Amino acid sequence: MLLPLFKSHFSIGKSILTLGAPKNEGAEESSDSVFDIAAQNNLNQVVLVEDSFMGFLQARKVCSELSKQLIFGIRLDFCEDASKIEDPKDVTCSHKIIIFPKNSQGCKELNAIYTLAKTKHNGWLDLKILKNHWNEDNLSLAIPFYDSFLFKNLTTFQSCFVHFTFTKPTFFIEDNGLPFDSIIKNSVVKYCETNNLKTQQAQSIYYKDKKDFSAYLTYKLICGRNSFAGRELSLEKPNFDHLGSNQFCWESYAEKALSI
Amino acid sequence: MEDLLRFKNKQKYMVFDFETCNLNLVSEHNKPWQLAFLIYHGDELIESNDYHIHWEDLRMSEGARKVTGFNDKKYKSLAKPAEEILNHFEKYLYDDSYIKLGHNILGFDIYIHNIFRKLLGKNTDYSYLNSSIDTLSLAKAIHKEIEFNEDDEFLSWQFKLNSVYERGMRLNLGACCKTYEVDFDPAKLHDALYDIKKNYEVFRKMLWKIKI
Repeated sequence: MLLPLFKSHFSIGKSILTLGAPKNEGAEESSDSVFDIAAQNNLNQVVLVEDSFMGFLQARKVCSELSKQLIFGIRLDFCEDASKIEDPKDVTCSHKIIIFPKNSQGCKELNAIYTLAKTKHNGWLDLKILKNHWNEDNLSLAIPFYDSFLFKNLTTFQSCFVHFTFTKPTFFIEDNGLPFDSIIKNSVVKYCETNNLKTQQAQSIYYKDKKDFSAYLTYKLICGRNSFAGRELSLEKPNFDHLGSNQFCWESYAEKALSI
Repeated sequence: MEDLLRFKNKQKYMVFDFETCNLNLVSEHNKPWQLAFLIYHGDELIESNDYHIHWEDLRMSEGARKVTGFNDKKYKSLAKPAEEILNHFEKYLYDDSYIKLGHNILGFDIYIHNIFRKLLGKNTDYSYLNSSIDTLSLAKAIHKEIEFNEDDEFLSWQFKLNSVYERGMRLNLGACCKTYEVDFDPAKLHDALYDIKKNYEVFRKMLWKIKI
């Protein structure tokens, strides 16, 4: 099964999908919402992976109105030792993790972990902090395909070794037609086989259709303040490394889900 | 030691470079309009190809026109059918006995080749990357004295180097020509065929500075 992982514009600079209630049929004038897609495609559950809690209440309200199950995960920055970070440049080994609550108590616990990271540790988590606040009954851990410690080890000169002794994370695997996807996938599969961990095929979704890529790119340029090292950026000269795939969308998910 | 590329006198290479309408890595409006590739067996030049690719709706940015010296009249007179050119190029690209070589290919040209394929209705296929070398990655490795560790996957090592940025680090082809004492005419850089000839000369010298 291929799992659609939505992200909304509440994760600033990462997605152009909103969390608005579904539009009326035929109305095309406004932005696409995660819930437009969910309603049009009869999804019973919506998995949101956000970078903050900002959209949580709205997502919960709309899901409740539509009688859809909401699975709300937060993607967090992880490092070797959060207590030593005063300046982001101090981070020696940074990568991302995703925490999903399993129930309503888990939502409270995730909120507590998120708040702790943001208020006490400059937004960072480390193994010690997470272990101290982990409750296996209420929380589950997932490792994203991009920006995980394995991804960073393979595409940067970072060398991160993370042993989640207190839980067994699920590793997401994606295929978005990027040149390094197969290297990452091979590494994830090997790591999970060696450590007896689960993998899950997934698809990150930041816009609805492939044709929306230019709108997505425009939004990223705006959020990136439209300059790179003082140089003016544009759609024709975006200067984003490896932004070379238009597959982070529902259309691509639907194609892949059909072929599985 | 004898496994090092510098000693493989008969190694086959394809050096390539695309010229495009702009720098977008996805847009099908960013059509590759020139593709040059050279086929070498060791030091011997076997084949030299400089194609202008025919598209009905080429939208060149002003910046690209300036940098590449694009000339409408010349383009129209030289342009050949896209499919014919892609087939010729891919005959070598997907032949594992050839090492595919280019400057900043991992950050640019491989994506342009993918756009080229998509424009002709073909699927993404990066399988040739395992036998490819980006001379920009090599330039960074030599500049930063980062050796290739045989425990590393060569492609992964190149992507790591691709991610290295440093203020003031100038490693474009012109700068590499200077560093490796390859004669070049700055006015001709960004002509695809000229670029790859110079790039191959640079590469041959780089091989004596790094163990791959």
